[in-house]
Amino acid sequence: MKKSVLKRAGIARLIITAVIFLYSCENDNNDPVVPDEGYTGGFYIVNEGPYLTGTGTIDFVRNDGTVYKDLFASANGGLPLGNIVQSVSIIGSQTFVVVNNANKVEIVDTKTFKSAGTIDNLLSPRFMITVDNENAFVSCIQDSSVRIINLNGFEITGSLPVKGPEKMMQINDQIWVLNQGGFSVDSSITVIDIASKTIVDTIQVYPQPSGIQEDRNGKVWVMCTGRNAWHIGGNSEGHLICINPADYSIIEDIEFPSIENHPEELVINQTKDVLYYRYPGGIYKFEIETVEPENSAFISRSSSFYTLAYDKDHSLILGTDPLDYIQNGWVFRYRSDDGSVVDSIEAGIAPGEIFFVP
Amino acid sequence: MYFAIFTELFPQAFQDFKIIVMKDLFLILFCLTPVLISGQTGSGDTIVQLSQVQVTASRLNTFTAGLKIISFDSLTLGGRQFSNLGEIISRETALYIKSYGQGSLATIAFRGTAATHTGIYWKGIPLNPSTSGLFDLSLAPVALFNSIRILAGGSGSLFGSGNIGGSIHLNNEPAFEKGLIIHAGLYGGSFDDFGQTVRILSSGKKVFSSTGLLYRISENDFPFKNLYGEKVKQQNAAFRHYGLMQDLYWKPSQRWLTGISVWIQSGFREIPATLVTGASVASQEDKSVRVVASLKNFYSYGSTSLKIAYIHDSLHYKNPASQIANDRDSRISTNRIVAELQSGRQLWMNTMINSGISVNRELAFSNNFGGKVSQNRLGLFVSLLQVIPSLHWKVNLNLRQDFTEGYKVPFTPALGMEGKIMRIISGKINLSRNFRIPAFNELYWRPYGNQNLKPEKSWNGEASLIFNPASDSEKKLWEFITTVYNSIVEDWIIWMPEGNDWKPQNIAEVWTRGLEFSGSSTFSINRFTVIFNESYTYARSTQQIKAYTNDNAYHKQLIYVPLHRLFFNLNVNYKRFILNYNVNYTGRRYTTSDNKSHLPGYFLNNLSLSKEVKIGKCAISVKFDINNLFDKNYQAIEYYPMPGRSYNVSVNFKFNSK
Repeated sequence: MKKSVLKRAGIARLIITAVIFLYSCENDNNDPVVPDEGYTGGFYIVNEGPYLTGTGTIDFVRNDGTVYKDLFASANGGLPLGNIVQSVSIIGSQTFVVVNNANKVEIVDTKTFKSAGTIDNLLSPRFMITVDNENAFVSCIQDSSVRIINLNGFEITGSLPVKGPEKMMQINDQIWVLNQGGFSVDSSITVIDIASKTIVDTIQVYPQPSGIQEDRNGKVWVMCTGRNAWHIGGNSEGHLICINPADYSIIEDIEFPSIENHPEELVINQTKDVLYYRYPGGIYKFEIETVEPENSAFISRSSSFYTLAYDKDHSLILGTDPLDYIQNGWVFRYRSDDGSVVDSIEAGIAPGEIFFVP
Repeated sequence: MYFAIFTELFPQAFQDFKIIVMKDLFLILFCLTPVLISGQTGSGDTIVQLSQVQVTASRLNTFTAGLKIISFDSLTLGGRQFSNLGEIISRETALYIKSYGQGSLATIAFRGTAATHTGIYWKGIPLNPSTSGLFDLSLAPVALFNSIRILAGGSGSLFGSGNIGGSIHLNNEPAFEKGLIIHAGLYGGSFDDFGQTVRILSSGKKVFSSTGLLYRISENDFPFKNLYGEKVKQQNAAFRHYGLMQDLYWKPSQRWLTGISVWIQSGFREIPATLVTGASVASQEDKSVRVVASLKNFYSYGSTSLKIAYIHDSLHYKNPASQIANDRDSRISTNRIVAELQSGRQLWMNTMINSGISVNRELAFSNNFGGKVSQNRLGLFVSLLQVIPSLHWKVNLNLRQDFTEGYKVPFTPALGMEGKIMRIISGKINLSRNFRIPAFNELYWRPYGNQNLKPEKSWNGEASLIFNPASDSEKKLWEFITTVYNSIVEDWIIWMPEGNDWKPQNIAEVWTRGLEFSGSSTFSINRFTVIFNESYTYARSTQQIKAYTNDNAYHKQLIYVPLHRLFFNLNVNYKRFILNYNVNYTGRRYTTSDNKSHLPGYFLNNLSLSKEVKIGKCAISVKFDINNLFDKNYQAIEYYPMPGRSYNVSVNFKFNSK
């Protein structure tokens, strides 16, 4: 009896082992999405990717609703873009992808997304702004600098000292750099003259400028988030200010009532007279003529958006939701007239920027 | 000498130690008084049939009916003495170790739970630092221990907080009257890997001393293919580990045993960049000093023991490239003092009881907490064991209530049974309540710490069937164990965005369940002795709460918990030649909570050959290892390069005076 039990059990054990082996030999099947034309008429979703261990991705949403996932890996044989993909900028046939934690800007062909080289040795680059075919500026948070890049040889030709720079915007013949202070707090805007590539002025604003837009009158609106609880000095109230770029004077200053709730970011509509920003409770609207912040959210939502964008061709407000930051996030689209939701599009991990391509 | 090293290396720790001792000595003594008194009451019962139950009443050995214990034999421990705890577990068991590479952080996801759900104990003293709540297994060298046992399943009723997935117990048991034993080992391997170890055990009738020393240093500059397919060398990945263990026991009579053990561990490691991040210059230095003093009194059918331990850990992280002050130079140090008194004895025929009290004071310092934080904890526990000799069964009930400053901690009972079902089949069953109190990082890390957190709580159940056809023979030939387990962890703490902030929150509910097989066979063909071990784990661990409307993590497998782990080990012995072939499979691990991305599973094959020569009282053995035999290119963690094929040689010398 004992022998047959042993024998049977032995056979069972072999079978189990074999089954486990077969079952465990899992296949990897990644069907690449191959675009049949260039990425035009739509928007890129820039997904940061999982913090510390993963790669960011870039998706493209065409106006007809087709979604192309992870363009870079698809076009480059599965190559990852790098850790924390921050932003995108395009100049002609070249698209620049700023990869924060990989300390590089990846240059890709605008049409095919095939890699065409990298600009290395940038310390935590955040945003890149191209002013002509020759020069670009990259804000680098780790060494608090704006690096000047020569686009002919992709060489770093200069560095300007700033204070924890984030977003930048071209205002007339200048670059305005929002100094959030990195991991401390700063309250200034550095003004760089494009022609001479020098700092011409520093505008003192309120703590943590996080959004900038130019309105139809040529005035510059800046959203100052205010200090957070953990910063030295504790919470401070947010301010939405309007600056006259002719003399850098602050001509409007709207103070937010609470020191605990912080407004963030700024997007503007196609007629450049309505601003939208993030604030606890959802997306808020601000009309530049009335100069009166609204008390209730234009688009209300309990969890906060990660970033906002405005689709000028379709008059839509876009907001991204990263959920837990370790699963695919979502892009929500809302009508700008009544704030009603249009649709939602599944993005990649931590969608942090939307970039429109005509 | 140790004291000098201790005060020199750790002046801060020494200061804290003094403060803690002074502050709490009175409290501890006060708490222990009732147990001391009750433990001393003698007993005249005469019991013969309980011989199979150890009278020493170690909670791990005696009151774990229904649970599964994995232990490593001396052959395995000897062959892996230059490994760390993480390496030996991932090589020699089917448990899953999440490791960032050789010499890097290694944690265990036991039965699909988090790293904080497995308690690591040295001589019964908890080692998981109160700051992170998790123990880095790469900082425990195998060479310093003569016993490593892994208790699978919830054991909160025995050991308190943090034992939801399982617990790991490191020990150096004293052995008297063994004379002088000397072990010395030398190790060298690929990537400038070098190690040395010495262990001297000396014992007489009344005194036992064991001194263990180990160091291992490695450049760890292995070649790998970067993203562009170019072969490059790993940078900034060197590590240096030093360990010293001293045990001293004195047994003045058969009734008394007293001892003191000191473990000093120091580890320096560079933290390499990944395939998708820029160059790294970060490094980390860990230092630990652990001291346990014990006193044990044996009397008729029972014993009482008192342990007092002091555990100091410090972590110094440096990243000169960082702009953030706390990232550029960050220090965390924790101090813990534990006093534990327990008394175990036979109550009457076939019944044992063990009861005790444990007092724990934690003190942590970190610039991330903005200074010092502390916590006092108290545990009261009682265990009962009933042996039913006629049925070959034993039944075990454990009850424990912890009291933690600032928390309501659940009462944790456990009921276990095990015994014979048929001639060759036996069974085990266990049901337990477990919990974990939040770690200091979760509570106090500025600005994200959340002081409103509740403890995580779980119910764990498991059952095993053991086939042991040759159990009646002297030589164990064949054993096969199948276990199923099921557990639900409520109030599982995860870091979630709340508005624009990140906060640890009691949001998740995780259902873990799984299946484990393990088998071992020993047989002889002519002069060959073959030992074949295999084990397999299936661990399903899913999120049961939908945290957001669009949440695709709902009902999905947790990230970095492989469904499948498999391990085979074949040992062929012939004339003191040992050939070992080891195969490990780690299944697919999801890297995103919606399970849309994953890392493919991989097999690793390892081969070793050793030969031992005996000359009188000495033995010399030489071992040659080939790791990752087929040069498999794989990623254990996404975008962390791993070494391909590597080689190492070790020479071991052993002297035994008896």
